[in-house]
Amino acid sequence: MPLAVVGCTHQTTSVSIREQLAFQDSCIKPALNHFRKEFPETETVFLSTCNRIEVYTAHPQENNLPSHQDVAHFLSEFHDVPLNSFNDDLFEHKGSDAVRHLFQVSGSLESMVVGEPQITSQVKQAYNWAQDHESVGPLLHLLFQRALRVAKRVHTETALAQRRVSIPSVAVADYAKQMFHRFDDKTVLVIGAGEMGQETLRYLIDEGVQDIMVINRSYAKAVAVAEAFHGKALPWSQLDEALATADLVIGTTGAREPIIVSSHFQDVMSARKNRLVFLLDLAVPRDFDPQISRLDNVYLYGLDELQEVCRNNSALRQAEVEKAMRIVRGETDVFMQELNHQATSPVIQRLRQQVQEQAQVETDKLFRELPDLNDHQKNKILQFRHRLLNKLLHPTLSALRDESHNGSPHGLLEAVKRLFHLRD
Amino acid sequence: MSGVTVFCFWASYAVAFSLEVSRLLFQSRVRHVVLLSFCGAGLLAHTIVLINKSMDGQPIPLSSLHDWLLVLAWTLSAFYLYLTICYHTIPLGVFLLPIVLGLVTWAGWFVEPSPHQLQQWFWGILHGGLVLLGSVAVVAACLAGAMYLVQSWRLKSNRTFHKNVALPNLELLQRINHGSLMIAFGLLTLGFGSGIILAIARNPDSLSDLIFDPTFLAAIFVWSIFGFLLFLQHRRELGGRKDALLTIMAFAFLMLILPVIYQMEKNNWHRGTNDSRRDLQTRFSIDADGPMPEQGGL
Repeated sequence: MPLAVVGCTHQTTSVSIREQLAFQDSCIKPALNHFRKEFPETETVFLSTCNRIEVYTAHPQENNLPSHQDVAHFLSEFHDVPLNSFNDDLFEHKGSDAVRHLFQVSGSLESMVVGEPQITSQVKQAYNWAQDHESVGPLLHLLFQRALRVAKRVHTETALAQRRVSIPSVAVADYAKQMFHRFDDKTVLVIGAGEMGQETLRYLIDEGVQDIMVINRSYAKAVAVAEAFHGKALPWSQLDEALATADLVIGTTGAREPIIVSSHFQDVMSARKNRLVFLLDLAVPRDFDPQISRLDNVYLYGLDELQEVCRNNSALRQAEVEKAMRIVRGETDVFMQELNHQATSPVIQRLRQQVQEQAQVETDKLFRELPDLNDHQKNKILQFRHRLLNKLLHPTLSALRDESHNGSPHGLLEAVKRLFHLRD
Repeated sequence: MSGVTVFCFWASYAVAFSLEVSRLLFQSRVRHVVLLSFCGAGLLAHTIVLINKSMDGQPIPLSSLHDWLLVLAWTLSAFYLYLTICYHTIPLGVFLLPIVLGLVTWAGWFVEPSPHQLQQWFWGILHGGLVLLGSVAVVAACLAGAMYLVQSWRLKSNRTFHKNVALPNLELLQRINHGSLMIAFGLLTLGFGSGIILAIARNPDSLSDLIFDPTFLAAIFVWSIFGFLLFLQHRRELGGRKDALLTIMAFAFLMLILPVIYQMEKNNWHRGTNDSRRDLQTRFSIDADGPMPEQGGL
């Protein structure tokens, strides 16, 4: 089968190597040109994300497909990275394994966070780039279009993407979005500079949050975090004012005791005229006194609650993974059958053409020998010829079709060529 | 067509309601189609009954409490069917269908059908229509309030629904509640005003009697309650849950006061002892030529 993928992923290769092998947007075009110079007539797509670098290749003749070593040398040369630093980490899949792999990747079954939706758009982007640089042909067109269809099926027919398993994604998707209709008019306050708080902030920015305030006992740290997210750093003394303004508050300090107690927050709620507030306590120990959750219009969630949801979602997601894998397997089988059947088309076409030509010669000869035949009789003979040819060819064509269901029917194709004296 | 009765669509809505409730308990692939079929069948039967009524002489059946309740229930079930098709994950029927069933039950078994011709056709229809639309907005505010309370309780207690069941977010529900209440107040105010014009148009001398009429007083009372609620929301004095709770209480109060007024009006009519009251009834009540909701104060 003239399809292959060579690459490395977060499962096999360290992040430092992946960073060196990654194709930045600006170097995709030179990389594709370089690859095409080395392997002309090879269809190529580079899929490069933070978790994987994969080179998909296809060639009408399997023998001319770049090998594992060819791709490894290309990556080493192009990125100027020693071959031995990553060669053992590279994987290679060919034929149906390569197809299944791409379907799993596009369906987000191979992602670090299974079900995350970004990978589908990254696959689409990689395919578009390759299209723009005319490095895709009929095989990779078919493969990538089908991969995107598989991703859509996985997304719509399973709940894989709905079951989030990381604390920040659960906090935003399962809680914040249940409270707020839109985020572009909301103010987020981050108290502290914890990593999980910043991760949550990234999810909130994806949802449209623009107004970000960061407060920390160390003003310098607050400034650093605020700058990273285009937010505003506030001194610790302005905590109460910030609490009265914010719609979402993320607590992520390293304080040993709650920094906000219930009585304190009651005053804050009076100042905010009981406006709805979402408090996310990602600190250990807690930043917010749990009693605060009893206040009206206050929704407080801590790590324990979020972790429990993550655990439940992980279990539910496993069932969805099975469902998604069934879709991938089914689509791979269908794709391979179509591909194998396509491989028989040139032979079938030549066979039909040759038989038709021979029949035409014989029919012309017959008509010359029987000049008294009228048009009606001639038509009858032509119809008879058409039916007879179809009946004679039917067993051969059916055998080719059936054989293509089980793999590439190379042997049978060769036999047909020899039996019918088909020329290449 | 004439064999279609109130019970036909009441039963269809009841089945649709039980299917909606079952959504909260277990998942099923065919249920949504069955639910829509029952609701659609109910709405069709409901429409046939209303068409039959309009063919009896009322182009728009709003002239009696019985008809008005049926039209209100029809509007709400059409609203429900549309929203359920568009937003199938929201178990709207759990909140809305009990109201529809309650209205149909009330109209079908507790209010006497009494078709009457409208003399002041324009003002009568305008009044009945405005109060009807205002009531739909009140129901929408109440629904949003009820869903807000459930969603708030779910989020506070950290509970989850089944995969295919979801409620809108709190912010949206609060907006719907507030927006519906504003629309309701506006429509009810206009309906109330058109009711006064209607009474005056029938009998210009009745204005002094009008202010002592219990229906009129009840209407002012209910209108004031909604106005006060809107004022509190506008001042942001209460916050989400209390707003929602108060809207539901106001709706419940409206639902309680309507039958009381209806019964009071009906008893007065049957007794017929007080001539002045009877005069007033003739001008501004059930068996007169004005639409029925006026008696409920709205």
